[in-house]
Amino acid sequence: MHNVKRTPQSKEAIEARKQKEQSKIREYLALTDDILNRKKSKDYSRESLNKTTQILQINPEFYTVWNYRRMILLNGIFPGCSASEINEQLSEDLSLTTTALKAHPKVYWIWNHRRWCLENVPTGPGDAGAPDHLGWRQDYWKKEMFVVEKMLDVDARNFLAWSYRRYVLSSMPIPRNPKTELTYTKRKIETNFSNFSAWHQRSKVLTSLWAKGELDERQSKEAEFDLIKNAMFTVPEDQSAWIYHRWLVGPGHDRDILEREIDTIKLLLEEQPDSKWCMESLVHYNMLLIRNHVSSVNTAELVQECRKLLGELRKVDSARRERYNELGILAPCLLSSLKATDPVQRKDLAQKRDTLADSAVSQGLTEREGRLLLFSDYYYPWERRAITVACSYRTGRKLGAFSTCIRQSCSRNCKQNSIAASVAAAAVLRNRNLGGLETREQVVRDSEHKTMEKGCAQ
Amino acid sequence: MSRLLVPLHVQSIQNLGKSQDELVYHLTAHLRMNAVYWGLTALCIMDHKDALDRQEMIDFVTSCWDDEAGGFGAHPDHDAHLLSTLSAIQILIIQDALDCVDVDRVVKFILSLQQPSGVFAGDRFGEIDTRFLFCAVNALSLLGRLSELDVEKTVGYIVQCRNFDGGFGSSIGAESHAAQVFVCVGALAILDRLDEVDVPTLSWWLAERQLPNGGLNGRPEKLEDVCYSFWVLSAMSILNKVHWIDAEKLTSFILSAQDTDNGGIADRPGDMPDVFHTLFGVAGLSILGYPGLKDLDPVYCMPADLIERMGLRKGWKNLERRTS
Ligand SMILES: [Zn+2]
Repeated sequence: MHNVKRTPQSKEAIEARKQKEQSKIREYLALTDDILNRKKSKDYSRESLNKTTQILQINPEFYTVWNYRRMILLNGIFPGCSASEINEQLSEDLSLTTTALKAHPKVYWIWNHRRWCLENVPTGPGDAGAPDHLGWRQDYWKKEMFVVEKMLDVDARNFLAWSYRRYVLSSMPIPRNPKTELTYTKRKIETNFSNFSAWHQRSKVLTSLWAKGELDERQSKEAEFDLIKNAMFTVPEDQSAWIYHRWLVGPGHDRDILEREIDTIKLLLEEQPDSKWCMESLVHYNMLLIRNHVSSVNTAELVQECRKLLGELRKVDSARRERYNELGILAPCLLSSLKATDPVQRKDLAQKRDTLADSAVSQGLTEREGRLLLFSDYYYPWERRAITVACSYRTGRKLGAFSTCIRQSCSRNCKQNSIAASVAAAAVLRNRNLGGLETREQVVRDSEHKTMEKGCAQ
Repeated sequence: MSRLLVPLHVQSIQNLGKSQDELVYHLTAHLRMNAVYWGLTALCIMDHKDALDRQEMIDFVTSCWDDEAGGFGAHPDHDAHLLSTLSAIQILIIQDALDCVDVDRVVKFILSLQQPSGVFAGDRFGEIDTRFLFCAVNALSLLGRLSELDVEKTVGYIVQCRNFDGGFGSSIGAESHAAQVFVCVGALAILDRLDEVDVPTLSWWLAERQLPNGGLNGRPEKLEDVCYSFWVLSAMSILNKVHWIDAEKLTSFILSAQDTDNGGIADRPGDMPDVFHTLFGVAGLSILGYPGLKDLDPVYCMPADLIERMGLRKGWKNLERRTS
């Protein structure tokens, strides 16, 4: 139950309410029994259909009855109907769900029945080849957009309605211009910058338009930076904008954008010296600068700045102080490991493996630091996979599970994963050694053996 | 700080089955199987497993068998669905009574619901959701039949639901939501495929679910709710990040949502309690190391010692149990 206030009631009041409910309970149970018995005897009559309408109006969560209703329609009603009668019946079912959704906007079963109805709308009214051959369907889908927008006007964060919106957009017989969705999400965002559902939708639409080459990525990104800047400066405490901003910046390969955004945020921080999101984002973007542009930025200064900001963050956002502590350890570790393994110079993958393994376990980091470094987001995906393998091994206790993970990785991407396996093996050594169970060499040999077994060693 | 009112909560769970003189009891029949699982698991975590009659419970579960489909409905004569089928299996395993199920048929039912995309439908009517995918993976794992699942296909779908914030949605394209994060991360944990999680980004997103009042929300800029104590914390435990939020503040928030008169925990302070939030409140407290509670396995949301005995324990990490 959600959002139902508890009102203390006297024993007498409770008793009185229960008394009053007794006749309702009897009625409801009689109706339920009747319907479930009809269902058991496969009674697909109009009368049964009406009974299901009756009970679903009382309890739209009774999924078995929705199922039964569809069975009645498919087996009992539609076979004797013309296309236009089927169309009328479905229109009735749609209004049944519209009414139900107004009172219960978050009941999955109702949305679900709605989809079923739409998917069963017959062709017509025109015959095949006639211009209005898909007329009914088109009318419904147009109406659906209106319905879902009404729902989102009432609750702009209803995730069922947003999912339904995506479903409608992808199902319409005549697709809408995807760019109209940019207009819609912008309208939603400008009404309320906190509407992360709209930001999310926007990111999906943009990604898809960029992928299809229907929108210039560089140019439209700049427009997005303007939009988001407005949100950040208007409601700097609202995390929706900052999460979206992080997506726009991405992995940070573009140094100019990174530095420009850092400057913008610093400007805002001057206005809002306690802004948690300013500081948190600055730490993240500084780390991206170190990660991607180690040879062309002043790393010592950046690390120093991260440490200072993290110290502030521990104070202004103490609930998450442990995270800031860990990031604080990470920054200098990251720097030293990058210096040891400059990506520009790492041409040979085997060498990379060794260097990485070494930097993970033997560059004098404490166990905790090593763990943090490995868990950071400053490695490539395959490296992270290795780290996860290491993690599951370390905590999962079983060598068997470890081998399975390695085998699974091996089957997916040979060269990278043989390296991943070795890095993983090396990475877990610290722990193994602490337990005094196995030596580094043994684990590495084992992982490489497994790799060879799959014929994946390069 | 107030305490967890164990005897009162145990009593409120015992009373659930006795409220047939209330209309709401009958209006929620479609959730009965889940409710029994929620109540039983909450009792296990509070170390009162025997507060409900074992045989009566097993009889109820078997009475919900849908022989036509080969799965369990939520109530006698209700249609089989993955949600109720998982709950039924969880109950029977906790009660050590799996022998009263035709496991082969259940496995067949579950596998029949996988779609070409890799996701699962909840039943033959085809609604899809990563929740159902988790139900399937979880149930197959508990039944020791994971080897029959097409893991690549299943993981392939989950990966497509991953968003730029590190979280997961209910289907491809859907917004990240803490409950969907739990089901996707839980499924990946069971399948030993946590390598598909963007750990730093997701851990950051999860840590940001905590609000100044200590409670957790399920999405950015939404209200706190006790049930997210479980959805968020379970994922954090699997990623070994529970310490990234303020445990003390969250503990007080959960405790403040207790109904101190009649027992049970509500979604937030002052609201009506229910067994769903009672379980997820107690589960959250267990992950936070609240004294006197039993360990909860955050992947399966079942007693940890049981999962450990079955050899299914994954690499999660709850906070250490406090003594006071
Ligand atoms: Zn809730």
